[in-house]
Amino acid sequence: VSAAAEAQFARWRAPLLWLSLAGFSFGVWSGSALLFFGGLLGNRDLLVEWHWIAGLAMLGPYGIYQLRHYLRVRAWTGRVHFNVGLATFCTVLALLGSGIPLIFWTRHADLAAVLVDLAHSILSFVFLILIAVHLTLVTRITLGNRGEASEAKLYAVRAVKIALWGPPILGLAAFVVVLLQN
Amino acid sequence: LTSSAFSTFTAISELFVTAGVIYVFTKSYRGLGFPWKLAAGVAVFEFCVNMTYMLIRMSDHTTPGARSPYAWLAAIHGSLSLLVFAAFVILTFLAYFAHKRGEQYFQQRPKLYWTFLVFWFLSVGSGEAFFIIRYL
Repeated sequence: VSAAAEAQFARWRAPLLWLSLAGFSFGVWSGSALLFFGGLLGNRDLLVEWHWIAGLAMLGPYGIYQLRHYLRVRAWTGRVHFNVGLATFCTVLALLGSGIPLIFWTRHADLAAVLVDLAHSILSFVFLILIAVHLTLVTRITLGNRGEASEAKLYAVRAVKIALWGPPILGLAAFVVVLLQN
Repeated sequence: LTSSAFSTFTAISELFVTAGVIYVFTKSYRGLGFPWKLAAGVAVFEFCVNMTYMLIRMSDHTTPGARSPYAWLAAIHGSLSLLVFAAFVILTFLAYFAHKRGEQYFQQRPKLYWTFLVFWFLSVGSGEAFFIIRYL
């Protein structure tokens, strides 16, 4: 296994990646709960506030991660996983653009607020699908580089598995904690 | 209640989408290739028409104060539809790359094929049941 492949395996354990994925996970869980179960939740307003707080708080770590990630992968222009990743980033920007006005329009029911809310929901669907596809594609690439050496193979599989399960579970745990607050 | 034209259209078109999903994945399951252009077309149509319709109508049932008797059915159908659609897109990508390598993705993974179909039918079935209960 080459040094580049080993560095690739190690990047799946980067704290900034974990923070970003955990933040996205919390956003998806809390946003889905608000969208699908909003009328059934007793503490809806609290969940709305945490959805905003988490969304804004993760901008720092995600911004740094995204910049470093882009500077490293920009040579891959044209590859499917690069294009899907770029589309995911654009969707995040659009999610922010549609989400921030909703912080101020939460009590409004005029047409503009309804349309922005709908756009935010549609964009979140697009984001979820794009990031899932992007992670699927880069997982295939990472596991394709694991070689035949059993130790490196195990390390790569473990690094990817932990990165794909750990942050979503952390995000889910944070969501459950918020949900249980009165 | 009478259904809107959009509701009726999505209820009927969902059956054609289901036929398309079964066709593209079953081709791969039987080792007959993967019609990825049709799969992509089905995914785009499903997202632009049926998923968007579901999002628009979701607010009728799940916004605070809506007091819809169908709130739980809408919530379960909506979240299941999102998960199943995301799975369809991911599996389409994986089947496409396998097809390019000359492999038959679902023929090698029959359990995945059947599991996906079960969840797809649960998702579509809950949507059609919703339509029937509400409008017919």
